[in-house]
Amino acid sequence: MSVPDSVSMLREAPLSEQEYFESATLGWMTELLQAFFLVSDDIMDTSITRRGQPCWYRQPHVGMIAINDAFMLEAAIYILLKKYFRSHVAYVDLMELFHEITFQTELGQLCDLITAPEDKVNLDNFSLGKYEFIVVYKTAWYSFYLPVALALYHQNIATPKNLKQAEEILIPLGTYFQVQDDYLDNFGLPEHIGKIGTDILDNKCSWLVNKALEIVTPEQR
Amino acid sequence: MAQTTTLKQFEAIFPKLVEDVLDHAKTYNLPAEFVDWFKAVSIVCSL
Repeated sequence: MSVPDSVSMLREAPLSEQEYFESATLGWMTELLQAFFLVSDDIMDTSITRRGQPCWYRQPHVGMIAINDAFMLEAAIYILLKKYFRSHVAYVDLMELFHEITFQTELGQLCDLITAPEDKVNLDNFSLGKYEFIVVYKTAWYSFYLPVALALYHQNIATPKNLKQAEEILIPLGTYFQVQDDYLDNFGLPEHIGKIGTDILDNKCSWLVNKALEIVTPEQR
Repeated sequence: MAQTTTLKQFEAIFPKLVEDVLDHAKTYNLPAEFVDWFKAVSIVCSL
């Protein structure tokens, strides 16, 4: 939804039906990218539930077919991109943006998988520096920067300068969001956050444990 | 003045996009059973 909102703000006007459709399509392509990541991550992390429902790969008839399903969700992005933006002047830029953001998110996932393997947790691996890398790459690029960059390209007004400016605002914003999310996992009230946080129990590489490790004495550790 | 979208407005676009992707899959003569599977997968992303 932040793609059509960004486009409308850039134009300082309500969108025509065509503009709304195109920008919402770019928004849905962002959702497809997220679905591709989440379906894959849940398999890698052997997660149980997602959005209050069993993870896709845990559906009895799905299993490891979910790996191929994730690839197909990714492929759907480029089917839609071609169908609606083939003749857009920024077609190649839009395509490169999706590819680059995908790669960045995979770097974040790599760092996360290696730093905090589900089965053997080694706190010596944790650090706020790695935490920040994981958050920025695994989350902030695709969920905060991507929608605004798509809006700039869609309006054909993207420049290295405004893309950089968007990055300088949105990447710290994404980091702030994730730190807050990690904090609320433990200190938020279940009735406010809609779930019972289990990050500590699950040995998650969250902001809290990294901050705690930074300030503890060797004995407290 | 900019206008913010509503969830309802945004979600209204999705079924058309699912049909577009499935139509593309159908150009390869994908049997109906698998079209239905792909449709079910696509819908996962809107939940």
